[in-house]
Amino acid sequence: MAASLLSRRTARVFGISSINSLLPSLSQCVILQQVAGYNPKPLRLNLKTPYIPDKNSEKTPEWQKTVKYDRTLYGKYGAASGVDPVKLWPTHEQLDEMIAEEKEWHPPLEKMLENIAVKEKERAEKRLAREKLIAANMAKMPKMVADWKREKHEAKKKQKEDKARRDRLLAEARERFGYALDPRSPKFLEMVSEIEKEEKKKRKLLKRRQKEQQQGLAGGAPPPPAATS
Amino acid sequence: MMFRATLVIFGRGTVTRLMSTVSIDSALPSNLRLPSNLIGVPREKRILPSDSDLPVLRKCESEVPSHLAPVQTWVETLRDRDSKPLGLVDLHPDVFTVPVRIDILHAVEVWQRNFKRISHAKVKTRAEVSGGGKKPWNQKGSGRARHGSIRSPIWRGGGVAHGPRGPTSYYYMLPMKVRVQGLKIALTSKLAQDYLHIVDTLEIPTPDPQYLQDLVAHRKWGDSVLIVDAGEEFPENILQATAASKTVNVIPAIGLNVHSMLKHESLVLTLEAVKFLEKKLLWHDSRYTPLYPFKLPYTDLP
Amino acid sequence: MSVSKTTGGKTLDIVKSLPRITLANLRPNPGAKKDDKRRGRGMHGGSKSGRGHKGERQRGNRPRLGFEGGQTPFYLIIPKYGYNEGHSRRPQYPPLSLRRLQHLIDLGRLDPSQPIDLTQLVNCRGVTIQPLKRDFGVQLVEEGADLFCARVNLEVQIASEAAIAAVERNGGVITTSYYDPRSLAVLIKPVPFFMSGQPIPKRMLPSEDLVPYYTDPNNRGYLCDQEKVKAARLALAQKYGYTLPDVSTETACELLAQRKDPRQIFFGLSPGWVVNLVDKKILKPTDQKVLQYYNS
Repeated sequence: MAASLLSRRTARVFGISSINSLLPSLSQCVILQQVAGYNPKPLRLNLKTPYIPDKNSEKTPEWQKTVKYDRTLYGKYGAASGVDPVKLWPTHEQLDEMIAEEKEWHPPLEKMLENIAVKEKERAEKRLAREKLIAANMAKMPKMVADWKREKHEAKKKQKEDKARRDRLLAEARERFGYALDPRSPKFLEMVSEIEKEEKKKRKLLKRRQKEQQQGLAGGAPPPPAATS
Repeated sequence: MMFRATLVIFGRGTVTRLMSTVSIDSALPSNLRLPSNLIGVPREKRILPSDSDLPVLRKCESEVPSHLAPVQTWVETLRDRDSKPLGLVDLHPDVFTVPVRIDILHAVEVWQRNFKRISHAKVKTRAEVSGGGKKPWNQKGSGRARHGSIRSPIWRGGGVAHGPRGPTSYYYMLPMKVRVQGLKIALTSKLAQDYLHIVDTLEIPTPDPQYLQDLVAHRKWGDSVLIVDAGEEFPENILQATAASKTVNVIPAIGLNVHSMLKHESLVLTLEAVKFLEKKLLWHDSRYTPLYPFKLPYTDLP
Repeated sequence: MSVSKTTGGKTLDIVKSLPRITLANLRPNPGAKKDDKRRGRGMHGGSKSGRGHKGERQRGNRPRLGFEGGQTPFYLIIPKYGYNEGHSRRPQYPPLSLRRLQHLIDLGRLDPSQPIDLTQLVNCRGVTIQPLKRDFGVQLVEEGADLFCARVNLEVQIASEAAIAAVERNGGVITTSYYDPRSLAVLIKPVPFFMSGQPIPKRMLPSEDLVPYYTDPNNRGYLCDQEKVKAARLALAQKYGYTLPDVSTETACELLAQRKDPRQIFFGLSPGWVVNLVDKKILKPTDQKVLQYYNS
C-alpha cells in the first residue's frame, strides 16, 4: 500500500539501516494491495548528495564523460562537484579554432566600415553618372519636342491635302461618268492619269506664259539659267 | 439536507432503503440521481462551528483576501476513540471554498487514468500472419472468386484490417493550473459535504488495526478513509494499523490526488498536511509564468 | 441574495445538498463533448458515407493544390517576384510599445532605477523573445508616446524616432544595440546559462548590413561616438519641440551614465567570466590567451 511504498522510498533516500528499525513487522505483511491509487515509481533520483559520475567506470555513459557535462556539473554543484575550474574555459587548441573562425566570419568593425564606405561610394558614383546622363538628355529635350511637333503638324497638313485632292478627283469622276466610281477601278485610275497629264500640260503652259510675260516685261533681257531648271 | 429529508423509508429491519422522490429526480442531473436500489445508513452532518469557545489551533499562514473569510472546522484527535474536538482550525478560502466544478474533476480524473496508460492491444495484419505468400488459385478459369492471398482480411484466419497496433501511449498533460484547480475542488467538495476531518497528529495509542476500525465506525467516517500527512515519515503505529486494511489508507500530502480523494469516502488531514497543501496550492495563484524549468533557481517567484 | 463570503458562491450551497461526489458521478458539462460521427453505418451511409458519387472526391485522391487539370496553372503563369524572398530567415523584432513599458513600470514589475535591458524586460514577463524563432530582440514603438513619463536607461534593439524622443523628453537615455543569437539566448535567460557552467560569451558585432543602423547617432546606436549622440539628442529635441532636462546634477546621473561595452552582455560582467550560482562566486580567467580572446 501507499505506506509501504512510501517507506520504501524513504528507505532509499535515508539509507537501508532505517527501514529495519522503522518497520520491523512490515516484512512479514502478506497482503499488499494498492488501494489509494498513489503508486509512484520509486524515485531514482539522487536528491541529497550530488551525482558525480565515475570517469573510469564503464557503466558511465559516454556523454557524462565530456567536458560539457563537467561544466554542467560545476554549474549545478559548484566546487563540491570536484571539477577543475580550468576545464570551464576552452583549451588553447579550441581557442585557436575559435579565433580562426572569428577571423573568417566576423570581420572587425573598421573593415566593415571600410567596406560600407566603398560600397556607398560605388553606389554614389553610379547614381551621379546616371544623373549626368539624365541631365544631358533633358537638355536636348526642348528641341526634340519642337521637331516632333513640327513633323506632326506637317504630316497632318499633308494628309489633309491628300484627302482634299482625292475628294476633288472623285467628285470630278462622278461629274464625268455620272455615277460614283470605285477609287480602285481602272476607269478611275485612267481618269486620274489623264487629269494629271492635263494638269501637267496646263502647268507647262502656265509656265511658258509666265516666262513670256516676264520676257515681255524685262524687254529682251535673258532669263537667269537657275530659274528655268 | 432538504434532499435527504425527502427520502422515503421502507422499513425492513434496520436496513433503510433510500429512494428519492420523483420531483427531486427530475430536478437533478442524471449523474447525481441516486439509484432506487441503493442501500445505506442515514448519515448525519455535523454542524460546522460558528460560535464556539474552543481555541483556534491554526490560523491561515498566507494572507486571506479582505473580501473573503476563512472557513472553520473542527480539529479532532486520533488518540482516543471518544474524545471531543480539540479546537478549531482556519482553512484558507482559496483552497477550501472554491467554486465546485464537476467537469474539472472529471477532466483531472480522466487525465489521471489516461496519462500513464499504455495499451498493449495488438493484432496481426495480413503481412504478419504467417503464410499467404502464394496466390491460392489462378486469376481466371477456375470459376472461383479471385484472391491473391489466403491471409487477406476477408478470409477466415486472415489478418485484421484496422485493428489496434499497440503499444499505444495515451499520454497527455493537463495544464498545471487545471490540475491544481482539480485538487482545490476536491478538497472543497470534501469539506462542503462534511467528509473532511482535520486531526492534530496521526499518533494513535496502539498499532492494532481494530482500534482504527472502531474509531472510524464510531465517528461515522464512512466506508473508506484516506489519511494524509505531510512529511516523509509516518508514525509507526498508524502504518502498522493501516498496513493490512483495504479501506483505511495513508498517503503523504505530496502524493495527494483527485482520484484517491474521490475514491475514499472521507479524507483525514493533519494540521501539517493542511499547512503543506495550502502553501503548495496557493503558490499557483500568485506565481509568474515560468521562463525556464521550475527546478532551476528563480529570484522572482514567491 | 446574500453576499457570499467565499469564492465558492452558490455552487457550495448546491453541493452541500447533493450526494457525495465520487468517481461514479463525475461527468463533463452537458454539451461539452460531441461523439465522433460514425461513417458508413446505417440506412443511407453504407454506400457513400457522405462522400458523394465517384471520382476524386469520393476516393480522396485530389490533385495537388494549384493544379488546374493540366492547364498551365496560375502559379506558373505569373512570373516570380521576390516579395517574400528569404522570409523564413528574416530577423524578427517583436514590438514593445511605450504604453506597455509605462504599464510595466507603473505596476512595479520593472524597476526604472536600474538600467532596463532585455533581461529585465523578459524577467518581468513584458516581452517574449524566442531566439530560435529568429527573434533578434525588441523594437520600441511609439504607441503611448504621449503618456510615457518615466526616466529610464533603456536598451532595445530597434527604436523609432518618436519613441526615442519620448524617452529623451523625460530625461532618459536610450541605446539601440545588437545581440547575436547566442548572446541573446544568454541575455534573456541568464540562469539556465549560468547553471551550464560556461564562460559568458563575447558579444559579436552586427553583420555588415546592420552596421549602418548601429553606427547612426540618430538611432542612438551603440557603436557610434557619444559626442555625435549628444548633438543628435539636441537636434531631436529641437525637431520635436522640447528642452532636454538637465540631469547632470541629479542623482540619476549615475544610472543614466551606465552603458555596456559593445562586447559585453551583462552589466558588470565581462565576457569570459564564469558565474556560479551555487557557490555565489565569479571565476575570472587568468590565462593570457583566454584573456586575449575574450577582451579582443
